[in-house]
Amino acid sequence: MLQFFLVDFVFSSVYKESKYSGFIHIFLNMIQKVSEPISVSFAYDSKKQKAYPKWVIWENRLYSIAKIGLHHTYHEGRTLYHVFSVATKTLFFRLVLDTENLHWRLEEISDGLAD
Amino acid sequence: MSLMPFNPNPPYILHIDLNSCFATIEQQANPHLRGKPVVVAAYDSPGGCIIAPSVEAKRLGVRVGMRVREGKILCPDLCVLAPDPWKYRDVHLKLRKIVSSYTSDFTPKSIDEFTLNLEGFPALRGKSVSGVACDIKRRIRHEIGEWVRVSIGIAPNRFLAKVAAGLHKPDGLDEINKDNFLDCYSKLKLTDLPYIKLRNTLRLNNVGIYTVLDFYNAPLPRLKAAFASINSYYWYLRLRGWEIDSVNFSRRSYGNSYALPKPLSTPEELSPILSKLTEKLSSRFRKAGYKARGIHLGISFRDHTFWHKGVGYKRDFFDSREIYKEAFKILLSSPRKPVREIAVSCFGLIKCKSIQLGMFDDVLKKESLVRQIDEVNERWGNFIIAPAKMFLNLKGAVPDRIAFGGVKELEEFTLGV
Repeated sequence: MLQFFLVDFVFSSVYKESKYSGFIHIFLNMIQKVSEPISVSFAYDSKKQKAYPKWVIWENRLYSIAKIGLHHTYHEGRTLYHVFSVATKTLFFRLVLDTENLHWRLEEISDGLAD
Repeated sequence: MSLMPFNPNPPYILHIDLNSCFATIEQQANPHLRGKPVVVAAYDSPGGCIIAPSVEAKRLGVRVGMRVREGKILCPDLCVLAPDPWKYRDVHLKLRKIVSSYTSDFTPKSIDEFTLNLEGFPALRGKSVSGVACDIKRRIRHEIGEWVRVSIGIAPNRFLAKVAAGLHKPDGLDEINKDNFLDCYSKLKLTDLPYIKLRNTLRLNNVGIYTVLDFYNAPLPRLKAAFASINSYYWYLRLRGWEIDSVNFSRRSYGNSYALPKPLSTPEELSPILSKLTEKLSSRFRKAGYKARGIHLGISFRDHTFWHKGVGYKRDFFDSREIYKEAFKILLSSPRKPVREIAVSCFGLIKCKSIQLGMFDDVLKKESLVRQIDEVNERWGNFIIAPAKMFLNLKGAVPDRIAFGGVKELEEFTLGV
């Protein structure tokens, strides 16, 4: 119940990705390296035993994740990071989960076009 | 003298090749890049060297070794990406996990190539070798990603399995065996064979060998005339499907190199880079339990000349600071010219738990200090404790890079798997 409420709240307070999203990000370079905290909704499917991000909120807009391209991990020191390379309808996000503090960071965003 | 016949045994060797590896993995990660010309370049600046073009970029003429600016001339819409080593290592480990479930007799030949020997393994119970190959392809698509395609070659030896894997890229499955090898050879050029490039082609041409069939039909004395070495016998066996390449070479050195974005010349300017390179390589060989008895420095200059010097020592090195001091001494003897690339390596590796005590140094204390620094760095990430010199004038220089030709680096990431 609480989860539905939270989702409704988020939906009402941010823009959803639409056919205009490409226009909104017309100034986005092909690949933009960033490093900023990002809100991510994360789900775990016990039947498929798979965990995946469902949507992200970036610059006050909500983007539903259409596809998980790749999930990989790496260590920095003893800290394990999970990297999710995901695509929405128009954009690509590289999301990194720090398993030490469970914080998410956006490290890269791109529109799949050449510079 | 009659020629040795082709190996009549059933083919049990599989060669798996992930084509355009880095670019394909990037396309897997970012679905918006699929079907588009993509390259992974050492640096994404115009002078950066292309290390992996995607299948689409290859079709437009983009090749490994080209500069980014040359690639952009051939293909203005080229997407240029910087390497993401952990992404590729992770895919390599996933691939390794898949192949290890079929046989324990497998060898990673590089980040994107594996050879498997299935002979006598239960994976073949109720299945043909090509059935196992199809299964591996299916699992790769399911467990790594649907865009990741591999070509698989099947043959009685490693060499021909590699040839077979190259017949129908990027998603082929071919077998070379006693029944079809002549047909396969007749469709290949000499340079289609692995390890046969310009110089070997000239060697073969000199003794009247112009095609792969000529090569196969040549008697051993003629091959001896061409290669003038034991290689002639190896080629004679390879082309007949007998195994000669099932050899694992042990590690003999550790090295790190760095291509400088701007031309530095003096030892003082180069010393921070030298410091970081020695820190990196010494922490790697210490982690693997080695000490070194030799240091080598190689420098490529902007005028396309090369200088190098290696020095052997009677004592064992394990401390980065000492390696740096000796490497710096070697650097002082190098010519003063603008440098393009600098490489440091340690050779004379020994695996020895005991240590020679010194008359003037407290070696045990030093070893303990180095071990503790390694432990702190391992806990908090590389270079949390490092010489101050390393950080002078360095802004992210000597980034993590991946060697996709050699396989020795991969041991460092796969030992625990």
